[in-house]
Amino acid sequence: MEEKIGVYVCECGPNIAEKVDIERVLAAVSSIEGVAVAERYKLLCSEEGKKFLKENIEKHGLTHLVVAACSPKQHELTFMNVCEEAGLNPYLFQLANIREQCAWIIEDKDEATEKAIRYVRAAISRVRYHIPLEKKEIEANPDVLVIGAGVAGIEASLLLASRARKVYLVERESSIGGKVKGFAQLFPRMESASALLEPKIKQVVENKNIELMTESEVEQLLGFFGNFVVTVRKKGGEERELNVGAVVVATGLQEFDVSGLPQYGYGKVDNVYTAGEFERMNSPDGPTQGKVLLKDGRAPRSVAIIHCVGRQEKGYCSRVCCLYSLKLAQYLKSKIPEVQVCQFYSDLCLPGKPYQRFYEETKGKGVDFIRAEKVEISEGEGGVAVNYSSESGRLEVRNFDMVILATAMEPAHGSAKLAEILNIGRGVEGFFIEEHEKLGPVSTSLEGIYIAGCAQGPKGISESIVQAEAAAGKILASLVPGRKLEPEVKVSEISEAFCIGCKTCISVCAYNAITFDELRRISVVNEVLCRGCGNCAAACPSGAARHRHFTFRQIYHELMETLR
Amino acid sequence: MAKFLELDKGTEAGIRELLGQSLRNGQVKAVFALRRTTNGAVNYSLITDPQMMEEAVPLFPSMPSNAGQLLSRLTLKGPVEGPVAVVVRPCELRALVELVKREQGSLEGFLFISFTCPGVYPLKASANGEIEGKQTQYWEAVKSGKVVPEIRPTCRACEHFIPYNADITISLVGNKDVDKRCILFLNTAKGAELVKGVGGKLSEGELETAELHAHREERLAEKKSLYDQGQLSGLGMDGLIEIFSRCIGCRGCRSACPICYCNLCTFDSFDYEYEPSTYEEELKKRGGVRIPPNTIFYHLGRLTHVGISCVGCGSCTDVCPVDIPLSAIFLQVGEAVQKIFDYIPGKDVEEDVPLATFEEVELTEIEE
Repeated sequence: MEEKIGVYVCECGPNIAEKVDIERVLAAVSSIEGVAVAERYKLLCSEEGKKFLKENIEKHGLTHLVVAACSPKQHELTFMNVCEEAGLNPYLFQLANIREQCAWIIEDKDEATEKAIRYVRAAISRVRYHIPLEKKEIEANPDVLVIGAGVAGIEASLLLASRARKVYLVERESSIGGKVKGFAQLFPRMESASALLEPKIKQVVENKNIELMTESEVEQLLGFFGNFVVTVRKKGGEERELNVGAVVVATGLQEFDVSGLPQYGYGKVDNVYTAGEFERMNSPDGPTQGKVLLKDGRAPRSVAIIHCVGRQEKGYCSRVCCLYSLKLAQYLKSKIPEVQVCQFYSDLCLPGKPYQRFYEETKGKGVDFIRAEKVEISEGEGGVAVNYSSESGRLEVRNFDMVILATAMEPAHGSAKLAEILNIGRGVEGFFIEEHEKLGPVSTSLEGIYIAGCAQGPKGISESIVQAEAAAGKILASLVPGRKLEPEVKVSEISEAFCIGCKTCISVCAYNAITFDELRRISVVNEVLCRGCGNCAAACPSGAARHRHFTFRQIYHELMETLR
Repeated sequence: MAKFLELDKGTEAGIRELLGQSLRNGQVKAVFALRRTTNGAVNYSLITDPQMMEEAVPLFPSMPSNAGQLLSRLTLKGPVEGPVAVVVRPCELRALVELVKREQGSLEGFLFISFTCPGVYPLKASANGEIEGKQTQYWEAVKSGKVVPEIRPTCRACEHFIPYNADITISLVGNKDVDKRCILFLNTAKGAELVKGVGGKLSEGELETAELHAHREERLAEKKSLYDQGQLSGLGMDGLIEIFSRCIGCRGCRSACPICYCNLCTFDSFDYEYEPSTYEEELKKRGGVRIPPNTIFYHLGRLTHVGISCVGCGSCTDVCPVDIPLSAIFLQVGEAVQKIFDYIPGKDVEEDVPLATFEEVELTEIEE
């Protein structure tokens, strides 16, 4: 069939028209062999514009379409849909970006026009070698994997589980409830933690649509949104493969290890505890059945709580330490009313509706607050000495029976490995990184993988629940049961004849989409997993791996015209 | 200090005896080395008959083909059932390591014997017994620790003449008694095991003597002059076109290159054939087109494909019927690429080929 390439240049209102001499572009390309029609239009992405394009494709019987307009990121899909409606295979289309790459960045109109001509010529040259690709459809899997069964993971699981959607809740510990399970009471209302948590745990256990997998860890994740294949291993061997459509990462936090900071005397001076250890001591199921005791069995008469332990080292404020320090003071005051409690802080962080009142209420119970810098803990006379620099800069010492270190939060151990398995990023602090701090706070760089709770950064229970709800909401809104997915069509393929089995492609594949066929000694692309990044095609030394929409010829002819 | 064994006989005779004995007592199943066949030609052979070891000439200064390529072929479908003792040059061993990194063979089952390599004569000198006539001159130069005259240009310019990954290293360069004493450095337990029972004297010493360092300096100077001669930098496209214009497209360089390991070459594929319309377009622009086209493209393509792993063995230049100084170009360009990645091809089989590694820090060198 004879080639009939249609070239349409979009004015994009004044955006392109004012900066590029469109008439010159049209004149330069209209006589190129195979170009059946070359025209301009004021706004091709508008409804009228799309209608115009569709009618033109049909009227001229176009075999290929070139649109010179904006970035493919903005309207490639728009015009591909137009092709489809007009009965033209959408992959026989090429978009030349003459707005972002010409009109918007080049001052001189002549220069911008010259460059635009090159781009349009290149697109024409390339599109001739395009191969019609066929779309496929697969049904999305609505099931969800939730990693971590703390408050965030539990909340997300409960919201997500339904008759049409199974939730696999994977927890590496033997019981669920996460860090909150170890708390006696919760700030600011000092209500019982178990009263809040136990009903939730019961709901999880009883929910037929939640499959709880304790003492288990995720080992591998392949695939993409709507079509993940996950390998989960139970402690002691047993491996299971799960198919899910989305993943919620709610792996929580751990306490910062203070033994690396000798100035706090931790592990060397008696009666110095971390906040986590004190929580356990205070807990009715703890080693002392909830009695707050010194090492010698006496009740403390004075306790210092040191804020911001590890803040400088970690490089961030853990948000809840000030608040839980107030809570610890309340524990102490309610158990030993005559105890003297002193908080050593450098800055108090108490944002949010209820917390100012909580602070004042705690202060009202006779808790002292001392603003201090350079805190050091040492053996003191008959107790623990807190050495510090006061607000006026004087060095002071005060003795206490007990010292509690309000330690920073850090990501749960194993986060780095999990990030690698899931192929999602972590920030410099080590927490999983959100897609956008403001606009995508629970999404990740990988569609279909969400983060909730302290896995994303230090936060309290209420914010963790908010994030769990947000992640669940995202999934409920997008992964509707019965939804069809279109796997990437622009994928790679590997020629059996050319492949020499060097496995270079496997080592560079970011999606684990290539396997090795031992029998034939060649690499094979799994087309459902392949996302068409082209790494393999670029790295393949023998030219066996090629990208269907970035073939050697397509790139060659596009470059030739761009550079000529 | 390294352990070495000293045998009271000429180096080549010593090797022959060691390997012959190892075959006889079953310590090795086979020997892979250069061998002079009855018709006088010297080629690599796999030998199991101890008697045939008499024909072995493991130190013969010629490289009929890069043994790395041969050993890769030998183990492509699976490792040898060893142990097989292999006597090869450092660059051949390096080529094999590069190929193994790409799953094109296996090191398993081999016991590698290599030597401080004085280099080889060009293949063209193997006709009419020319190399035989040069033996005296060759070994005199080896003894003196000087760079041997008339060897391959890349051999003269080779700084990697001390083998990596050899179980046994034979001392050649600068060994004044090379025809009287055989000195074997035992680098691994496997190497030490092999020489048990062969007699001789075990001592400790250094392989890399001051003489060897001086020799390296000499080779580096040779390399510099090779590069200066080539005047590659600043050559530009026109210069390259000129150099490659005499290429007859025989693809001999590709066949001889140990790193070119594809079954089918992408440059032979349909993708690289011109469309009739391309000829037309090119003719419209230039008025005349070289037939067959793509010569420069083929050479630059090969350069990008093998540059990172080029071991500078010189086989390509050797087989080129029109004397294009391929190995000088490949060595220099290859070295420039290797430097960027701090990569010495064939040094460490565990080190990934840079192309197949990922680092978050962006490579900015090429932008500058």
